Amino acid sequence: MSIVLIAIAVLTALGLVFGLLLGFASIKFKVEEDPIAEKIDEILPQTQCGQCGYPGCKPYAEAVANGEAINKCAPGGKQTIEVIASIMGVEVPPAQSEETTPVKTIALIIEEDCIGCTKCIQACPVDAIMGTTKQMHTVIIDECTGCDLCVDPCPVDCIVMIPVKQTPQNWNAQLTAIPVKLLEP
Amino acid sequence: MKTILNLVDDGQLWKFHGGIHPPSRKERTQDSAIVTIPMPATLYIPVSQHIGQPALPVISAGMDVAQGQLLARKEGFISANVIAPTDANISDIRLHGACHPSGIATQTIILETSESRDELTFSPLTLSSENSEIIERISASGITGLGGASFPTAVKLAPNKPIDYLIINAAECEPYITADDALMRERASEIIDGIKVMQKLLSPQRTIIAIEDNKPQAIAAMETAADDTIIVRAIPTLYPAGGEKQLIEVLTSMQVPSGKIPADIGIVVQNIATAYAAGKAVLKGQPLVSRIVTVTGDLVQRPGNYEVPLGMSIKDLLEHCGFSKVSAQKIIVGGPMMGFSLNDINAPIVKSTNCIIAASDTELPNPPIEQNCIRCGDCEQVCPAELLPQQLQWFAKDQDYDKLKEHDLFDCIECGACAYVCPSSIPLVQYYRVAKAEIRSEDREKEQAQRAKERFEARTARLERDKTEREERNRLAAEKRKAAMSNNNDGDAVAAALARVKAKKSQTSASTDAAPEDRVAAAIASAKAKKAQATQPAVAEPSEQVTDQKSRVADAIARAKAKKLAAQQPKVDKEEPVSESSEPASQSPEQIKKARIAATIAKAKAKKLASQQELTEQEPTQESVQEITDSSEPVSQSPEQIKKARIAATIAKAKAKKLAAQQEPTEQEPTQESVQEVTDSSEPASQSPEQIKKARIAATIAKAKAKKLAAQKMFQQEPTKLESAQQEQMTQTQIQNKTSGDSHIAAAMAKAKNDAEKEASQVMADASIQKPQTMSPEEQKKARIAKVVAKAKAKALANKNLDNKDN
Repeated sequence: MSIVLIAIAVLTALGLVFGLLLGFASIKFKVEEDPIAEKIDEILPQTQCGQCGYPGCKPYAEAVANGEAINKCAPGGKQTIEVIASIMGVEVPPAQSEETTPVKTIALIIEEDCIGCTKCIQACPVDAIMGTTKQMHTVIIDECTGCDLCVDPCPVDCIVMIPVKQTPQNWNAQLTAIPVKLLEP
Repeated sequence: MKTILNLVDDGQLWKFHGGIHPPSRKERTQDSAIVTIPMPATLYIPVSQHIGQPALPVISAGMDVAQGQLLARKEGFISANVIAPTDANISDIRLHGACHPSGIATQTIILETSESRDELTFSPLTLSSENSEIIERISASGITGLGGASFPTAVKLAPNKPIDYLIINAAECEPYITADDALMRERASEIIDGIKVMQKLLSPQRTIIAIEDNKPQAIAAMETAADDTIIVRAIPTLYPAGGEKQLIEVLTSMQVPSGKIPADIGIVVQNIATAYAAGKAVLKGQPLVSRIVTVTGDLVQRPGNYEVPLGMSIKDLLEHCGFSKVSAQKIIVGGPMMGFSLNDINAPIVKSTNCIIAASDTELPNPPIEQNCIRCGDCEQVCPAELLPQQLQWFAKDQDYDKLKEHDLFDCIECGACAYVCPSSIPLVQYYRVAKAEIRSEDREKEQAQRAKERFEARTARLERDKTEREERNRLAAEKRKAAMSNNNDGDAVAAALARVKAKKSQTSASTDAAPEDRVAAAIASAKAKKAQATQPAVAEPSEQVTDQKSRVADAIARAKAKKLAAQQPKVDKEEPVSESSEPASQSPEQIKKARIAATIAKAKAKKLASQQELTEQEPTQESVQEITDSSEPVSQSPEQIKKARIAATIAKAKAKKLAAQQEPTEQEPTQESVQEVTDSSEPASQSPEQIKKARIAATIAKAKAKKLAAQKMFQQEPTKLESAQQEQMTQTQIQNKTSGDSHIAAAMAKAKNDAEKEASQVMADASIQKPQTMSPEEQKKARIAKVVAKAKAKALANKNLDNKDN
């Protein structure tokens, strides 16, 4: 009889100890955010363009983690889809947009046409447009993600998207692409 | 046991992994003396001749500069100054073909050199000068590493660790190049001076000059010039012994860890030409304005080593050396192993250009067509960085960047030894370069994405914060109002409201009587006064825009409307406020919005019409506005159409403003006066700034209400504007004061009516008089801004025209 009691007591004690341990661990090592969503957010290009239908990259990352289609990121292109597919463990679906390798662009404000309405400033998701009311605005090139969101709100259509300029610093080292000028004899 | 220092002192040398023995081909130039090239007529100075941030030009086109003057200031930590090589006039700063494999044009300062020589040098320093002063001098002289990588020397000479070895790199292992050899043979003592400067800055335990043993004359010259503190070491000729990390291993047996720089293990390596330039800058005060360049190849009639001013175009240099062009000519900058073929012959000589090879296809044939890898492993045998070139090649072709990083692609020094020995003629280094560029751009994008994310999150947080702050403010204000109300009983509230009404009236009209009839009369009077004053200057002026008849018609309309207002006033007074408000309240917010858009369009078009002077009669204009308003019935408009309409309205508005602004300033003047007068007549003489502000706010509200008015007119199809305006006003007031009693509502109504009257006169003025006359101070400001914009544009246009003429 006493053996049974002892066994019950010991098991109860063990259960309590481990329960406490687990309870402590669940509080102490609590994961604040969905690690998969976080991982996907890392991969997304962070243009915050909203082309996926979500208000930014993070909401889309969370949606993907909850089963949203993985091929909605147009700026990320094929590569991003492939990486997300490998994280989510799903097949690679065809990209939604025709262009698989999107050309990186940035916004350019045609400054003589700008009327200083600040509409683009309000639209920019990364605060990459400088300017104030009735003053000419301009784009901070280094911060522009090329998301396109400032183009539509402009009342005078003075914002155009231009491809990122190639410099010796960001040159892709493709020698075959260089038009070599041959010298005439 | 002997330490490494002892072994180094004993003259022991080590060996790096791999290496090759390409034909040296230095015979053509290795005995030639240095020839100074005369200053060409034009110099091209790129602002980015170094690793790191491009320098920022501090001069502008048209300026005259003296030799040694600063042209572009260094930007950031790793950057170098750019110095004028001679007296010149800056003809332009534009994009020009760069001395870079990409051939991408970069920002370049174009100098037209002048005859007179006004040499601007620094005051010479001595070896006993302060270290910081010497570093500052080297930086100011624009000195970068002249061996090839162009790392800013001042940065390299100020390490944050104690330095054991100062190694002077004179190995010059690449075929063809003899520039350093010539420098050592002819200017050994100046080089030693420069090394002394570096010794002073770094205070190393050992200073070693490393020279490949195929340059016996140079070794002899340096040994003669060197003192006891400097070791001249002949090292075996083996490509790429001149590579920084390979040279360190040969001389000290130490290997620089992956991803580290030599300074991390207490070693600084400087090119011998850099030492020469530093010595000249510090001890003679001469900045870096020229360098020794080997010009060679079988197509050059006078190959040799030339002292070339920086910025001279390669074309000029080759022509000076008797260059005979052949078809499909290649010009190689740098050595044949690590150099690149130039794609714009007008590119300038820059700080890192040590050799120009103009060789025919017989001397330097094009590489054979690439074959498949046969996995022979020769490349691994010769790799000086102990990498696996064959593996790297597979990964590079697969674009497997993670694997490439795992296999230490970034330790590759791109020496080309692997490609040299490859039996399949695979351009291995080219694959690595592409992969490296790709990885770098990926890293850059990742960093950019990270920044974008941070900025996006910061913005979202800011918007959220603003919103909560606004809500908090509104809530506090509401609480305050509530508290104020509950403190007083109903009678007090009525009294307070009445007092407010009185106070308001005293502000808005000259009359202080509160009786409604009097108020109406006052409103009519003020409206008339406004009208009279607003139209008078326009009539008096021989303006094309406003004819006498027109103003008279406008006056008549205004008067009629004022009368109508007077007639409606008592009726409205008696009506139940709830029934009045039922009409506007039934409108959905969307409808109101749409109507507002339509009104804006109508207004913009009316303005445009007026300013274009197409209609001389005011009545037709109003009619047309009505038509436009009616025709642009927005109920069935899709959101896209509305958006388009909005944009069109804004454009129209902007155009109208511009037109107004472009009109003669004489018209502007009386308008301003009349507005001033209107303001004076409707406001008491003693205006505090706060009152003015209030008035301005009131004007804005009135404008907004006018829009609303137009919207309501459209939906209700009622002939009188004023009633609807009052209704709207009352609805709003009622909502605001829902909590207080009936008497409070009545008081508020009185107030609202008062507002409505004011507004009515404003609206009438708006409708009956042309735009320039009714400009509020705010509008005036707008017009002025528009005028400035217009002026700027005119200027730009003029400039463009000028440019076109020039062209």
